[in-house]
Amino acid sequence: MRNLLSAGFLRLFRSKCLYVTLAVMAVIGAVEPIVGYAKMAELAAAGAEDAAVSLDSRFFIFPLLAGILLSAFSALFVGAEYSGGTIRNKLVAGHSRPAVYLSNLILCAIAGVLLCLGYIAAVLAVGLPLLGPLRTPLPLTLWYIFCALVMTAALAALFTMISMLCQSRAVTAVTCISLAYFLLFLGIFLNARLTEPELYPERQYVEEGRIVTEAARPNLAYVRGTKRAVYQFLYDLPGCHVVQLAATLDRGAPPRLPLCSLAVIILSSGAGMALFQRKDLK
Amino acid sequence: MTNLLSANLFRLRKSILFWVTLLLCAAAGAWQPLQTYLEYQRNFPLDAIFFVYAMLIGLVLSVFLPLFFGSEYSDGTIRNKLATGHPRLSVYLANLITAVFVALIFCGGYILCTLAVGVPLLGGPKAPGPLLTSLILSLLMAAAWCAIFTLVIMNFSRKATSAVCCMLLFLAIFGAAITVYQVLDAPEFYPSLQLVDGEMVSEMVRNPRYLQPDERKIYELLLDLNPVGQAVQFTDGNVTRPVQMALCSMGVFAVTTAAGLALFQRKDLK
Repeated sequence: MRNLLSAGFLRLFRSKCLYVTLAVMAVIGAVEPIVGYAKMAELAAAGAEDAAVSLDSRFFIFPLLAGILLSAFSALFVGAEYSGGTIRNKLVAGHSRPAVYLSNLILCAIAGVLLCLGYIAAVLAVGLPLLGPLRTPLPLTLWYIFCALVMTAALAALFTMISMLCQSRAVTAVTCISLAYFLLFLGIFLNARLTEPELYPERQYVEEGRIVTEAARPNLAYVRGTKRAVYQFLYDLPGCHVVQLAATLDRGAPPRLPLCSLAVIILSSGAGMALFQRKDLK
Repeated sequence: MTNLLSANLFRLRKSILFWVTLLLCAAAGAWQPLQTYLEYQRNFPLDAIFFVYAMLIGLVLSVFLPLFFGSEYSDGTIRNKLATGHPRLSVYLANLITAVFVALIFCGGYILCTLAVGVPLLGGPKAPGPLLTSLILSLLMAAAWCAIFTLVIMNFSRKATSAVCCMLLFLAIFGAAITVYQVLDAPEFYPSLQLVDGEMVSEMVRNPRYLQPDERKIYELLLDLNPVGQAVQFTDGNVTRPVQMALCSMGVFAVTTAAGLALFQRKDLK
């Protein structure tokens, strides 16, 4: 296992794919505060009362980007073991299948963490001088970063499972990226459905010079019962809960989110290893 | 060229991926009106959900085209085509025409199923004229997507890399369109509540984020140049610049095809 990891790290730090994805994260991290600063200057010039743009809106988007780029990275990095035939060499050299699987999982998780850190370093380096410090209190920020890193590790576990079980690198890439998109858009959809108000409150408006009062009415689109429980369960899945992390920024994400991510890591790795044990590597 | 096209169409007919994708498009087309009917009964017009395919087609093509055409590189058939005397121009154009044909089939499958399920459940379209205009524009937009993806696919020798590039490019274009749309969508005035002599008074305040006419034209052009930007306008039922949108789609198609061809002519196919 130690040899596999050491060989893996050597390959990881020579991987063009890692540096390209890291560069993309760092460039977006650096550009975001610059765009915010330009917007702030434009609003101030237009005489807006509240022209300040906070660094927070630029800082907290990193798990979303990391998830998508990690899906591409994992597929290409792990997929190269199949296309290059090195996965058979590892087994022939006497390494067990679980060790091969776990070493790839650890490498993908570390790559995910590096992508997040690349963004954080760039956004802070450029954003702090331009937009000032974060408005979110430090404990909440650290909790957010912790939840985001655990979620990234859970996504790495899912992508590793797909990459280790599919021999075609292109199909792996398409499946991983599609899964990342699916989870993200599902999260946006679920957030919209779960935050629907149960009742539309009473409202008053002026019509033809008269004040009209519209009574409170129930919202037909409000999700209830079993459907709500299912939606809530899906909303807690890693990838989906990136939206939840952003929505609960002011009060801190519920502790069940990192626990859900942990459960996904254990379950997907268990299932992945069991299937990989039986896989015909040809 | 005719031989190349006929070979491509033959391969397409035999492709499981093609039939599975077409089936998924048709299923999505049937599901959309059914789900709308189950949730809102007949209170939702068919027009409002008709153009969901315009949002999806880019994503579907970003998956299908690299897998389908990428195998020409991985299996080496692209070299065979050139070795049998076909010029690079013909190989590129034959693939592009096949890609456009595929896009039309996918859109057609979706539309037919939407109409077959939607018309009995939700009623016919409320405004068939504008719907038809948007339909033609959306097909031009799909052709523009094909040209963009063909540029990427024909210039990357690795199937996996071209698949990753196409899918990430789709997301980048999607993000750009949403950003431009949000800027354009800012209201000119917004209500502001103020306390005057102990009473709350509502006053309409000019929004500094509202774009001035000159800037607005630039942003509108950016939105129309972007296939997702056009798709957002179709789904909103807010197509106010049909000629500009058509010209933008054709412009994107022409520029990306010319750039793709120029790069492919110089490419070392090894």
